[in-house]
Amino acid sequence: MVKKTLAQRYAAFVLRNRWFFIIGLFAATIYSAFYIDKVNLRNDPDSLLPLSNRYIATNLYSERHNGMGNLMVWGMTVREGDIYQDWFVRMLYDFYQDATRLQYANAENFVGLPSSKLRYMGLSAEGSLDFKRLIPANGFSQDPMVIREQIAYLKEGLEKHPVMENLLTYYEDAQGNKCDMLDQNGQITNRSIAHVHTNCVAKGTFIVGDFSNKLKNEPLQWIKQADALMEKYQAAYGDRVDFLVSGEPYFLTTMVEEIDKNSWLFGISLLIVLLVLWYEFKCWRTAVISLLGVAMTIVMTLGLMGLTQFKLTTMMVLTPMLLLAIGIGHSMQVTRRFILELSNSDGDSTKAAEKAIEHTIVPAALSIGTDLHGFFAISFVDISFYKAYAYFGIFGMSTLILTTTSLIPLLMMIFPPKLKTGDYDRGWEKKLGYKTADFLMGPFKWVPVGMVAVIILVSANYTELTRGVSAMLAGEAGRSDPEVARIQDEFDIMPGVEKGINYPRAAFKEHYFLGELLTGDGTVEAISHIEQLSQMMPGVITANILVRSRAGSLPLCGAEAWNDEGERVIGAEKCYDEETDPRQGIFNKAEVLLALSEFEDWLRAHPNIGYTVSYVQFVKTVNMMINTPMGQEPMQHMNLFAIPNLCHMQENRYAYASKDDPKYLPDPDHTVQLYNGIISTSTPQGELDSFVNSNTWDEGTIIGFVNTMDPVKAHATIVDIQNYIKQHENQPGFRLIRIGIEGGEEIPIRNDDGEEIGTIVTEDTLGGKPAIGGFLGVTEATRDVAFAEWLHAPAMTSVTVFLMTAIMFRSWVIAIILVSICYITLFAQYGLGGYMASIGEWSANLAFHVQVALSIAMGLGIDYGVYMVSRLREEMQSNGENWTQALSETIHTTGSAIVLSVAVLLGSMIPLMNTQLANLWSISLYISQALILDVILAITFLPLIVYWLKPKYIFEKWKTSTPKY
Amino acid sequence: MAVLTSVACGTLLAAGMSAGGGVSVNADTASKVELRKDALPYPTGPLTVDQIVRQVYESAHGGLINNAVSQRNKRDIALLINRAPLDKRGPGRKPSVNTFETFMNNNPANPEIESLQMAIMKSGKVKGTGVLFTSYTDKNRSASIALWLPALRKIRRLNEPAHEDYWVGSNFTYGELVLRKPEHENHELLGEDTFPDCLLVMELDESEMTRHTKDLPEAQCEHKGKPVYRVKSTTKFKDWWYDYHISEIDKRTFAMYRTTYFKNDKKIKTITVDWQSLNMPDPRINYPRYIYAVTHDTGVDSMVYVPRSTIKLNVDIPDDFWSEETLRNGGKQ
Repeated sequence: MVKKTLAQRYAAFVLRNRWFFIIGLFAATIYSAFYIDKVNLRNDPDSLLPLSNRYIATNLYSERHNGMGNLMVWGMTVREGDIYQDWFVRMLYDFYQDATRLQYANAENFVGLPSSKLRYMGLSAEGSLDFKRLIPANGFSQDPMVIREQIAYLKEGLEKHPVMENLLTYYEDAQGNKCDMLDQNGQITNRSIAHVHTNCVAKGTFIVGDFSNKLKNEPLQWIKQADALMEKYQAAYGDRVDFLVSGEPYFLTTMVEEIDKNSWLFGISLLIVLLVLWYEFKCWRTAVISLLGVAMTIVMTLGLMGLTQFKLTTMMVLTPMLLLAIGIGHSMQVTRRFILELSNSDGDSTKAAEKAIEHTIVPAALSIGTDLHGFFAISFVDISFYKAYAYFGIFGMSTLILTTTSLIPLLMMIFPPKLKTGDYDRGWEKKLGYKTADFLMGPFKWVPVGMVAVIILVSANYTELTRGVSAMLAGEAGRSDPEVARIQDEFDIMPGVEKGINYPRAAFKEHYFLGELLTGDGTVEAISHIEQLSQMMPGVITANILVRSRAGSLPLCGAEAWNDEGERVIGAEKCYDEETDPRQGIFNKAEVLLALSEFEDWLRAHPNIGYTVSYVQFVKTVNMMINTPMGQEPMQHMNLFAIPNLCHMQENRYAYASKDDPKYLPDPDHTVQLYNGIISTSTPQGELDSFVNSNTWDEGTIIGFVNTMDPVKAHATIVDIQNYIKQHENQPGFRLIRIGIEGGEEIPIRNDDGEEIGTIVTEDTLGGKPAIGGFLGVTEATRDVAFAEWLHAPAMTSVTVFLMTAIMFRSWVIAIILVSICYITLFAQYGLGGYMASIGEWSANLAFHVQVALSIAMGLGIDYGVYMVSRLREEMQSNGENWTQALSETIHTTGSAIVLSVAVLLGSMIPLMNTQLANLWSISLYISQALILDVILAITFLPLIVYWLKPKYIFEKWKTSTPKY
Repeated sequence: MAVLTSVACGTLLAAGMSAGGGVSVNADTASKVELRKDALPYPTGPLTVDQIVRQVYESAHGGLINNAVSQRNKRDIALLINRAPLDKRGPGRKPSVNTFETFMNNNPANPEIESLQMAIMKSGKVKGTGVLFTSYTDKNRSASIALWLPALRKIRRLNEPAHEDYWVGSNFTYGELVLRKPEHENHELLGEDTFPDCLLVMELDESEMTRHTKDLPEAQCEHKGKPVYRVKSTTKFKDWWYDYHISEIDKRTFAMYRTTYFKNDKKIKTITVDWQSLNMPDPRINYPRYIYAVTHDTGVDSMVYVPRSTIKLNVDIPDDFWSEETLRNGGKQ
């Protein structure tokens, strides 16, 4: 008895258990379908990156302790006049109230003119210090006389506010240029303020809102509310006011909304695929069955996403698209085979099904095996969405064996197509075969070689490979040039390829085709708004600088620290008693506050930082208010807007000397401690926490508003901040503090209800550099990850591809040829990245999220080479080692099949590439570029190399038949 | 900054206490205490809702007494405890505690002045700071506040705070403590009932306790079953932080045990006061042993606790005690 091959045994097994397969797969699909709506599409950049990264850990810590992690900005500018008009201020008040009522709003952290934080900083008519709210808690009066007074009070109060005026007011001069409140040194002075108030008009104001992380669980519900809020005010005031909206929650939820709104495009993709299948088989039933198998894989994969509650991003939308594109290739192969076998067996559908499975299972398994390489390699990268791509990609690809190669023949056995007479092949496939073979065997054979050379040269140009290599070779001597030192430190051999990220542009395009097609306006509002706000506000992304003490603080004494007789039994070395012990906490020390104040001045003078806010500004304000001589306006004494150290007090003795004792000057530490007390008892419990820990007074945050999102400038900004901190780390005040989370720290992780669910230990991958938080920190963390992975992940993929192909073909030469083709494609992808950076197209530079395309494309693209090599060997055998004939047949069959599968892939991707979402477009672009190139190289360049190198695997003298699987 | 005027608390502490002879209040001395000359008389016969509310206001805002003092007595001292919102509490975070002494003069000789209240912070972040709050008989004139800043050796004068401003970083607003008057609201008598519950109180975990807070009172249940008026008071302020509140008022003493605030018919805040009898002939003269306020959606809560031993009534203090000079001397003349 002839021993059956593994493929034959598998086919027989499937046929024997056909109902088990069919019912089982349908049951699994239906079960999975119930979980699709539970897919956790939350799109949180903080959850993309490893929490052990110090930048991310700093944000995690800050979000927990200070909030202010999900900031929104609404901007409103009047078209005529200034903001001090009764209808405008009423609208502003109402808008503010409505915004604080949005779901998940941390109303106490909202900042805007109507906020309770905005207080008058001047004198009352009686000469007492006045701290009333700028806008009454219950809004403006309806009485025209009263509201006029209220608006005058608001204007006067705002113009006297040394901290918030610059943050919340947009001033414009007569030419329409923005007026800046800070002078060239980053200082607010009486002169700089006077210039703005005299020469400019307040045209706009902003509301900064803070939202809890819980909104990421219900993004669609939240964005609907936020959109409705804007629509309501736009409908009522759109003719007089320009509204702008931006911020992290808005961006992230709008992306999810964009997916939701455009889910119908997936239907278009399916339709395109269905039409291609119909074109291929000229039978609707066959087309539907072919599509059904892939659809089941997609449903099961989406169901698994919902079931596992893996935190996903909008980029995961590409997973079903990839499964569709890859799966359809398998569907077509097995369906074609079924029809062929049906024809060969005179309509015996059972036999045809068994034969179809038998002949396709091994190539399908091998092909899926190589596809999985890319996913497998990225599964080791510690980025959650890389892992999500990997896990769900591997799952989906693996199920294709069942849903396409196994299930489709079974379904076609039950619902067999009608047999057609005549040649099944298309004319173009034959033409493609012989014309390409002629082309490659004639004098034009140098065209593909030239094409590869051009690809390499163009890519080298855009990647600036020569500059990178030169810098690497410059050695120690070249390090005097900071750029050379950077290239060496970061091993950036392709400095033309920007690996940093412009998050807003990575999320959204500037224009989108679908909008132009459907509405005539392709402007992406999310981008146009953020760009306008960036011009008007001091900055719309933040650098959160976490300040903590080096020494730490003692725990507050509990009840057990004192006995019943009132004697202290636990000493001051073990716990802190506020009543009896010297004040602890760095924010109770004037020298620390002074160092932070100078640091903020430096930050404000930085060209990429528009403004800063921190607790230090509160202290400086109180110092000015309290020490201005009785009966005089505090704003006339901006020199007292300072941290009162001894030097400052000596220079401004008129303000600090005691009436009873002219020689007396207050103790600086006691003074700031008093201010801390005043401020903390002036605000509701917990309201200061966004700036300072009012429990320990040992940690706080400086929030810098960064006015650029350009990845190069953003990186330069963070490097400058880190250098400043490094240079000052041993200076007075600074030597008591540390910035950001350090390596080896244990940070608790909490769920949305605040319950601790574990801890992470941070890794020290930054050397001695302090970790900066906020969106700037996330941007830098992303850049760091991109630098770690841009060569590493593709290299890992290529190693596994090399080993797999070497084992598969038992030929080092074949493996080298295939990997070399992968490298050409990869280099072309780097070249594309360099080109995008050169034109400043930050939606498609090689940022970390785009890099995932490198490995995936390599895994998918290697298929074509594998198919070609396998088929060339078969055809060489079948055609008596006639190379030209073998090549012609190979391209006619396999070549046409891979062209068709790439066409399906592109066709299915095109609709989604044209939404507002840049991330889908960029990843699709890089994958498409690679696959198109892979197909062209597989059909043209690969045969030439094989022909010239003549690997034994293909050119050996045939003594045996085709190897059995 | 205006919220430093902790004397507002003194108004409540002194509520219902009347002039005597510089003695601590107890059963023996109670009979010596006299009502203020122009005090609202104890009502007789059926009352309208406005009359009920007026009685409550006068009783709770010191309208019945001349002067009162709360000063440290050995280890006992008045406390204000403020606790952070629920989502901001965590390991190592303890409620903030301020101890303070208050001096209230409800019967100053100067006819232009309605009352003088002084508070000296004895611990906490503003230790040593003193506040003198002067209310004027001219209702159109704002109160004035003098603030003593010990580290700077300076007095600063501040404007009267707004109704919605919070008092000393607590969960009590100035409106609730001193500024809100009966005419700021429309009142409706919902009915008469018996008080059904124990009074809410601040409950601290062991990890939150300090030497000052380890012996805080437990929830007071002795008022359960007492006959009360239920009065709904709707604010006249537009877009205010509450729409209305429902108060439960002792029918005999006019002590307001519980006030529950509503916004859009949702309960947002509750204040309870444990009024204790001082055994005075006039049953309205009571003593607020503790006052507790909790905001329901955030969990922010505050409690004022005044040990009985710290209270003295009718202390023989001249009017010039309530002066900036006394502030500079930390409450000593």
